[in-house]
Amino acid sequence: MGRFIVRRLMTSLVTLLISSFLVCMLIHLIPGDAASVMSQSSSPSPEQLAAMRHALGLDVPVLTQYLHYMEHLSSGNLGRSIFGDQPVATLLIARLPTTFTLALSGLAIAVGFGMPLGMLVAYKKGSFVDNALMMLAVIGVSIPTFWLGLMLVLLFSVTLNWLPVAGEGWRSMILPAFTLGFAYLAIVARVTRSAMIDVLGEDFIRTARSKGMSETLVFYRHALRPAAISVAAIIGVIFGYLMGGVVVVENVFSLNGLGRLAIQAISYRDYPLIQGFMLLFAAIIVTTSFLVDVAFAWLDPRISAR
Amino acid sequence: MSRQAEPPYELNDPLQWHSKKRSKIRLSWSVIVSGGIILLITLVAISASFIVPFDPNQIGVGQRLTAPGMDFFLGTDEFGRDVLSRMIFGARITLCVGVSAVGIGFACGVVVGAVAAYVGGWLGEILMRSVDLLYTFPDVLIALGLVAFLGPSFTNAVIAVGLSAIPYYARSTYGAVLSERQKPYVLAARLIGASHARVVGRHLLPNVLPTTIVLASLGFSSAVLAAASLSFLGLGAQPPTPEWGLMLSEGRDYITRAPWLVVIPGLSVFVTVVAFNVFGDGIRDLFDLKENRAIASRRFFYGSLRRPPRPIP
Repeated sequence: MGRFIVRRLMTSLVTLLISSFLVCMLIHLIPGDAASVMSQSSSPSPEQLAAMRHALGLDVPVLTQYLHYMEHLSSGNLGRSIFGDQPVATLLIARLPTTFTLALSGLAIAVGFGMPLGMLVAYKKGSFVDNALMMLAVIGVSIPTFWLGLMLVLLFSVTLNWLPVAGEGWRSMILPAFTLGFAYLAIVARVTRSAMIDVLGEDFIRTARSKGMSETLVFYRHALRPAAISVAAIIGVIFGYLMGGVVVVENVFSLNGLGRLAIQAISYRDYPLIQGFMLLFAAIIVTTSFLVDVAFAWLDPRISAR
Repeated sequence: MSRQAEPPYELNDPLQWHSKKRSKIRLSWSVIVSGGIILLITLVAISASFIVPFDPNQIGVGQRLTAPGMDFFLGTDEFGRDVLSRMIFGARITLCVGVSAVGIGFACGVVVGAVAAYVGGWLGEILMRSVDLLYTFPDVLIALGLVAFLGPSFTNAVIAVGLSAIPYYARSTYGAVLSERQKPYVLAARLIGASHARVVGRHLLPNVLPTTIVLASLGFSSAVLAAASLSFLGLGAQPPTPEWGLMLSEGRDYITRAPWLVVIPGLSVFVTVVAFNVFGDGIRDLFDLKENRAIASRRFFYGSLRRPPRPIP
């Protein structure tokens, strides 16, 4: 177990290092001269350009640039937002709670509805419900998130007037969370279904049934845990993809989270802020997948033994 | 005299794939319906200039925000432009986006995957490790980062969507080339003196392409979806382009007064993406690629089948 954690930690750190290098190098993708693109005046003098280049750290070799970037990073300095005129880290941290709330509620909807649905369907293999779930899965991966969000607003806020379009409080979070979680609800359900079908075919289930245990008890005592482990394994991956969906959903519902900030930063060409955003998202995704994998190995010791 | 039963054969065996299976293909209704929708969209896109009732960018062909009716079949938008005409030209844009983005991702991905699998060694290791790394992150996020620095424009959005799909194609090509490389015909080609480039180009790739092309049809739908999302966020198509994602984004301010401006473009994206997904799935099942590919690649990447479908490297 210890060795597994260490090995998994090492790969996560390497992933983060490479991601940070790529994020640092993104600035070289800017077409033309980054300094002249980012300088405020329309026709900067050569001195101004040189000063800007120096301020951006572009006047040194690439590897030195990266080392500088990492040096700043280690002290929590992600640079200064050009237009917000505040440290990037401050801006990002202020928006973090909204994004996390949204992502976690989306995950809760995907797992909370997906798992019971998958378990139900596993008992009714090949039935109408089973086919409907397959269709729901196709719809889930095909529906444009932004359109689903607006359609829900049109139905529940504009027409039925049940839920607020925007504002504070948990009621205003219902539609965004559902929009975000919908695509993954069916995926979770399908994974649960196949895990459950596998488990129900195991010898220990047959033994439990043959000694006269009721089906309810078989389900709760013997089938639930191994099936849940298979689902836990994909939660890390799903969370990563939810974080991608967050960007769209926040912009549909005008939630002041990281995704909305990122789009604003892009439209203002606020490159340090975009870099900070990319790095933070990479860190969140890598950390979550690490934690989920460790939790998974703890639940199922066979994983770390491999 | 009764006919002899046909010997069992492997569906994925490249030698028989061409000769025998063609005549035995049986299409399911879902493939026919989705294929029909794709054909319809393609026809509309090709003949767009001839069938539009109005110029898609002509302002004020009707009253602002006219509801769908006899004069304007799908209504008009906030500038009095005909929504139907814009939707028709949007179909052309959507297909172009799909084809270009898939083309970019496919071309780069196949090269990366084939080189990594054929050359192997440290080069293969580095290539596939980087692909695994990129695979960790949602492709929308990668595309977003690329667009942010390349500058928001439609061309850049399409390039970014294409590049962000490289890991997907690279991984599938990698698995396919790796299993194909072991086969005797590759050794035979080498033995009669064919160069590495010739072995890859003339022998390996033609045998691997059917697999990867089927996967490309599935990649098409995610490319269309990602490009529409970027346009919706204002990072793709710019006004007055009649792009579906952008039209939806422009129409959202009028959602209460003119819901058709939001319903119609989104529905079109949805139907297109569903059609390509169902079609791709159907084709894949037809050639029985799912099981073999999934197992082969998973076994290779993780040494066992019990790992989750998309573990983090």
